[in-house]
Amino acid sequence: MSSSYQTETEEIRVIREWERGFPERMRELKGMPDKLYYIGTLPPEGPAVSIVGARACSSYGSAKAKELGKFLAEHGITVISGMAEGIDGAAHEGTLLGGGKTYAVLGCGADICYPRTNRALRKAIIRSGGGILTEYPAGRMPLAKQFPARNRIISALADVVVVVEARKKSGSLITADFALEQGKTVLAFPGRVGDRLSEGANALIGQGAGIVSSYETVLWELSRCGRYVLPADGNRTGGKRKKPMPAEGQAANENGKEEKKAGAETENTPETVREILLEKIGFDPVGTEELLAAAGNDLPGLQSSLLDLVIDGVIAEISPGIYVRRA
Amino acid sequence: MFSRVFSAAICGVDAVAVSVEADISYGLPGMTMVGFLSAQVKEAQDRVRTAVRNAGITLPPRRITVNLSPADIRKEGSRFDLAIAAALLTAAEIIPEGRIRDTMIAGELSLDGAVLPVSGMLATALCAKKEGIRNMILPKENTAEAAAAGDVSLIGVESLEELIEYLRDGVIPDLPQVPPGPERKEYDVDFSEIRGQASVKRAALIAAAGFHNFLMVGTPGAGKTMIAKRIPTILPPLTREEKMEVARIHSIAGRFHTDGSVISERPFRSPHHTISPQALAGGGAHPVPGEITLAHRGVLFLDEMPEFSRQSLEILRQPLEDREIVIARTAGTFHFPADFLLVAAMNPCPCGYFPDRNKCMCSPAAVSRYRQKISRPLLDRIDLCSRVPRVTYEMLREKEGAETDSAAMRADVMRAVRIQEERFAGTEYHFNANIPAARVSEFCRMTQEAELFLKRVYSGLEMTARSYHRIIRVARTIADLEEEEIIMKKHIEEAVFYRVIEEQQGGI
Repeated sequence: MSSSYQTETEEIRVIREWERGFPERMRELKGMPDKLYYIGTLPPEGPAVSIVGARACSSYGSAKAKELGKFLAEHGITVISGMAEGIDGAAHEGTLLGGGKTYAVLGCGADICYPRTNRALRKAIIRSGGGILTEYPAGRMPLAKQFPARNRIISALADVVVVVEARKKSGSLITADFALEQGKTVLAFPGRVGDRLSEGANALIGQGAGIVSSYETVLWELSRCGRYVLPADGNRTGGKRKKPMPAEGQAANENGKEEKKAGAETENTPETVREILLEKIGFDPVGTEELLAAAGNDLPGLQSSLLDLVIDGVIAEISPGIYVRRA
Repeated sequence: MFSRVFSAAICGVDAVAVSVEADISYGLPGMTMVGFLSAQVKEAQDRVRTAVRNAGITLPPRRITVNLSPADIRKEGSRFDLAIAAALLTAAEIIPEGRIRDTMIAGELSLDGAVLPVSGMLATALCAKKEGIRNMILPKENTAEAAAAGDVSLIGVESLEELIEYLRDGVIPDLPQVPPGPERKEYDVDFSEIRGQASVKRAALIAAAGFHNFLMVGTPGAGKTMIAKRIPTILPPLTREEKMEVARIHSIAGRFHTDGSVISERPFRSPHHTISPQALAGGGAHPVPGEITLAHRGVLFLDEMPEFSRQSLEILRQPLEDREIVIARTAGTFHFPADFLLVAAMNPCPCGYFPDRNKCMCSPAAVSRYRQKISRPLLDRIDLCSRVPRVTYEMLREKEGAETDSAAMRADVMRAVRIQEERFAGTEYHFNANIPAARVSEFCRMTQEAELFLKRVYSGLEMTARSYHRIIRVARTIADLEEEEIIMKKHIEEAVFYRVIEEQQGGI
C-alpha cells in the first residue's frame, strides 16, 4: 500500500495494561485493548472531555469546537478527540490555542498521519506535550472498520463526551453510544430543526443527552461526576448551576441572527453598512446578493465594507462571494 | 497538349495557391496524378473522369498526367476536383486555353457532374486576391461566403456542364448576384434577459472592457452559461480586418450562417469537458484549427472547468500568454491565431452546493481536491472571479425592462476601449489585461490613498506579487470605465472584491 501517509520516524512506545501509566479509565472498562501504542505522553488522570463531530462540518461547528477546546484548555481540562478533519481537528486546535493538553486517538498506526492535511496539527499536538495514541501497531493503514472501534477509546478516556455537529448516521453517534455504555455523560450542541448537520446531535438530546447551552455546562457536568471543582465565587466562569452564562461570541452571533434592522435602506454611511453586515453575517454562510439587498442595493459600498471586514479578520470569504463570521 | 489552371490548398488557416497542370500525350492510355497528394486528392481522378464522361464528353484514349505544384505542400481534400477537370478539358482542347488563365477554380465533383461545396472558400478567395487573380469559379453554394473577400469576380456553378458552357461559350450561369452579406442582427441573446445578478453582470462588464479572463463560481443552474453566452454581445464590435480573420477561420472550419454567408461576429465556443487536448489546441497530422482558434477574437467558455482533463487545461497556458498557438507536426509548423477571452465556470465543490452544509456533504478534502484540479499557473491567468448566486423567485418576478441591456453595457465597454486605444497607441498591447508586470506602474498610476489601501490589502489578504498586479490591471479597467485617469481607492476596492481567492485564504 501507499506509504504517503507515513510520517518521519518518531519513537512509538508501547504500554500494556499491567504497566504503570496505563490509563486508569480504560482499565476499569470491558472491551478495552490490553496495550496501547503512543507517541508523546499518555492522558493524565485529571478531568478530560472528548469533543467529537462531523468531518464535513459547517463554519459554525468548527468555530464552536475550537472555542470549546480553548475554553476547556484554559480551565486545565484535557481534551480527547480523533484528529479527523472538521470538528475533531478544530477541537485539537482550540485546545492548543488555549495552551492545554490534547490527545488524539487514531484508527491507524501511530506513525500514520490520516488525513494527510493534519500533519502540522499532529506535530503540534506532540510538541505541546500531548500525545497520539492507538491500539493498532505501527504501519497499520487507516481502514474504515477501525474507526468505529477507536471511538470506544475516545469515550473511555473522557469523563464527558461532547458532540458538536453530527448527521443522522454519524460516527460521533457511535462514540456517544459507547460513552453511554461506559457510563459517561453525553452532551450535545443543539442545532436548528431542519439542519442536516444537527440531526444527530438533536436526536441525542431527544434521547436524554445534556444540552450545551454554554461552555460552562461542560464544567458543571464534570463537577457533577466529581472530576472538577467549580470555583466557589464563580466570577470567572459564572458557574452557577442553573444559570450558566452564555459563552463569548455565541451571544453576539445569536442576537445578530434574530434581530432585524428595519430602514436599512435609508442611510448608507460606511459605518451603518458595516453594522448591518455584522448583523447579517453569522456562522451561516451568506451570499453577496442577500447582503446587497440588506445594504440598500449599493454595490460599491457593500464591496468596500465587506473588504474591510475581511481584512480586519472579522469575517472570512470561504467561497467567492460567500461570507461567514470568523471564530 | 499541356494546360495549367489555378487552385488553392488549405494550409492551417491560410490558403496557398496551387497550380494544377494537365498534360495529354501519346502513350499507353491511362491517368497518373503526382504532386504530394493525399488519398482524397488521388481519388479525384476517378470522380473527374466519370463526371466528364457523364457530361457527354469523351476524353481521348491517351496518356494523361496531372501535377499539382508546388510539390512540397501536402494537398488535402476534395477541393481540387473542379480544377483538375478544367485543366483536363483544356488539355483536351474542349475549352479554349486562354479562358482559364486568370481564374482560380475550386470545388468538388460528384459522378453525375454536379459541383459540391467545399470548406475554406473565403480563404481561397483571399488567396486569389493576394495573387492578383481576378476571376474565380466555385460551387454556387459557396459564393455568399467567398463574396466577403471582395475584389474577385465570382462565377458560381452548379454542374460541370455550366463550367464548360461558361468557359467555352462565355455563358454566365444564371445566378443572382450576391452582394456582400447584409448587416444582420448580430446576436440573438441579450444581457437584459438576466434578472438580478448585479455583481456578476458588473464583473462581466469589467471583463469585457479590459479583456480580462473571467471565472464564475456558482451552484448548478444559477445561470453561469447564460451569462457567458452574453459576453460576446458587449465586447466591442470587430474591425474590418478582425472580421475577415474570424470569417476566414470559420470558413476553413466549415461553419456558416443558414444563408451560407460566413460567420463574422465574435465567436462563442463552448467545448464539452470531454474534449481532447488536440481538439482544443488544434492538431492532426496536417493540423486543423482547434477550439481555441475557433474562439479567436471571441469567447472561449469552459463550463465545468475542473472536469476538463488536466492536459487539456494546461494547453491553454501558452496561448493565453502569446495569443496564438504554434503546432509542429511532420507536415510542418503551423501558427494558429488564438486571441480569445477565457470565460470559465465551475461549481464550488463536486456536488455544487458548498458551503450550504444542509445540501453539501463533500468532505473538506474533496472540496479542496476539486479546486486544485485547476492549476495555479492557469488560475494566475484569470483576473476576475465572481460568484453566481442562485436565482430566487423574486428575481424572476422582477419587472421586465428593469435590467440593463447589452447595448448600454457595450456603450460602457466602448468608452473604456477607446481610452485603452489611446493609452496603448504605439505599443503591442490592446487591453489592460495585456499590460506586463514590469510596466504596470507606468500605465497604472494611483492616488496615495489607493496605494495605502492596496498596501493594507496586500498584507491583510496575504496576496502574492502576481495577484497584486492582477488587481491593479483590473482596477485600471474599472477606472477607465469611469473615465478616471488616476486609479482611486474605490477602484482598487472593487478590483479586490472580484479577485481570484488564493488557496491559503480558504480557496475558491
